[in-house]
Amino acid sequence: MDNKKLISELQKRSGLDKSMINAIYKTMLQVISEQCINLNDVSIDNIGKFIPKKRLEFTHKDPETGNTLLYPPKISVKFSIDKTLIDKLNK
Amino acid sequence: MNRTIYSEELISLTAAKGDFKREFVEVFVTELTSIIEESLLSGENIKIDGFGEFKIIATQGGEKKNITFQTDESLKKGINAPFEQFETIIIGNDTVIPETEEKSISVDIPEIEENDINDLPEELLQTEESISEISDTVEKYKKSVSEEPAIAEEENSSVTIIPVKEESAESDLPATETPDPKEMTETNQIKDEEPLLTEEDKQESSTTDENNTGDRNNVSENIVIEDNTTLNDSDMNKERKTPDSENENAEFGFYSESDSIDNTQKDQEDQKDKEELLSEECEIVDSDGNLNQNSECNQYSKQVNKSGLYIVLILILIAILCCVIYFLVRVRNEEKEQIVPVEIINTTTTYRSVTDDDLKKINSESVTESQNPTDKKETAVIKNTPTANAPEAKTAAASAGKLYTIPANPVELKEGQRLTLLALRYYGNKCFWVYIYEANKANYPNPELIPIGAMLRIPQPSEYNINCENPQSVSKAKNMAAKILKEL
Repeated sequence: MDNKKLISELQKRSGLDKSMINAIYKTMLQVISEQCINLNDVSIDNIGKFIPKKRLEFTHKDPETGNTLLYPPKISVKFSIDKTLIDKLNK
Repeated sequence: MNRTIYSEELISLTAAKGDFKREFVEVFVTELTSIIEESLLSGENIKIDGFGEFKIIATQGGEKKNITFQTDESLKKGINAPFEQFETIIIGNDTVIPETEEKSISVDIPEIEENDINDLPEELLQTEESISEISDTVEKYKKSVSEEPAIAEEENSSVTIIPVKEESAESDLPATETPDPKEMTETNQIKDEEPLLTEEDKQESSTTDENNTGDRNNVSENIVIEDNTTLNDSDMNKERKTPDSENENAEFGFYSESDSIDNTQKDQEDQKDKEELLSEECEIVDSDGNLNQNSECNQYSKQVNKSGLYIVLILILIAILCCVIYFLVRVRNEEKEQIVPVEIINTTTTYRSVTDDDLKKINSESVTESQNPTDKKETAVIKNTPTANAPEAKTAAASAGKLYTIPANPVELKEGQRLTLLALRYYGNKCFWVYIYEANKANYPNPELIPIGAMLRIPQPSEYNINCENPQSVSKAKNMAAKILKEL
């Protein structure tokens, strides 16, 4: 399913405008990203859960060049899909 | 991980942030989740821009299905927005990673954001201008100190003016760093007062000059100082063409008039003392001869500087000379040490020549003394051997001389002599006493009880294969000695 199909489907079901849907969607993404920055898990019902993890800065030696590289800190996000959804899929 | 935010809280947060109705957001979220769930259950992949992509993957040989989610890059960027400023850096192996780098940068960002973006370039320009002005004023101050000995003479006029420049330079920084509206109004007021203050300065200086009309030299000095100060002020005004700089200049005049006098006197007490000393010396010169104080003070300061430079140069030259002398002495000592082994070699050469002569003499003596043909053979053998090393040749020759002076007749044992000493004398090693004992065993069975005056036959080395240089013969003799002593 494409993004366009999804939006049209949402318009049909919810009865909201396209602009309203886009605005709510953008704000929801902002809220998710803010909560992930604060390292809070964000769970969406019946789908899954965003689990952020902070990875600190670390050094790594490149074996080809021999240079030691300092990698910056990073927040990696893992999305764990709900088990009930997988169970439903496998029934 | 702090806590989990469920869909209800997510809805409320989105509604609060976007000023949406909660109902709309709730409907949106529920419909979105239902669409995703339905499409996934129908076996269709979903790609949502800005969110991610759901994919269905067959596992365990197609028997089971699994769902994977790949987060969109834009969402990842949004989550890692605080760390966008960091990049992978190539560092050396020995560098230590600072732990507080992240904190310092994260603290600096909001400070910049708080300020108005339009004000930033002006402030930066002001700071740059202020820095350049500070450097210019400092250079001018240095020049004025070096060029104006009159400043040192007049404490009231010069010493109050000089620090004003520094304070103006110092006062530029806070004015540029914190552009508060109150200060700006104050500076505008001061700008209006500026010309009056400069005129007042001139009037005050002129009145002080008129009071000091007793000495014409002092008057001329004061006039010179006024000119310098006014020139400095004019130069400062020329350099500061912008309105902000004019305000700063107004502050300069304000502080120079009233408030800065006490502070400046406290700050530069050391300079005052030095200048007083210089002025006293200059005045003494005036009383002696009617010369200009300015020129003399300049000359004096130049002489002091020159004498200091000369002293430093002389010290450096002395140090270099000491180093050169030290190295020369060291090189000579090394040369002497190298000469010593050469002398030793020469001595060895002399030894060689001596040993050759000795060998010839010894051989001739041995030929005359010993008439046996066996002795001649051994001498012939010994002739060839010792030429290898000079000291060895000498010892071998000496030992050979003694060996071949073995008497044919029996030797009388004198007081203080022993078999070992006789063996050492005739064979070159003490352990060969055994053979002397064996030759005289019939007459003297106990080697420890040989009386003085006993006649002992010294056997020839060929009888027992005696050779002091052969370790086998030496060991054989030692074994025999051990056996004989055991039997006793």
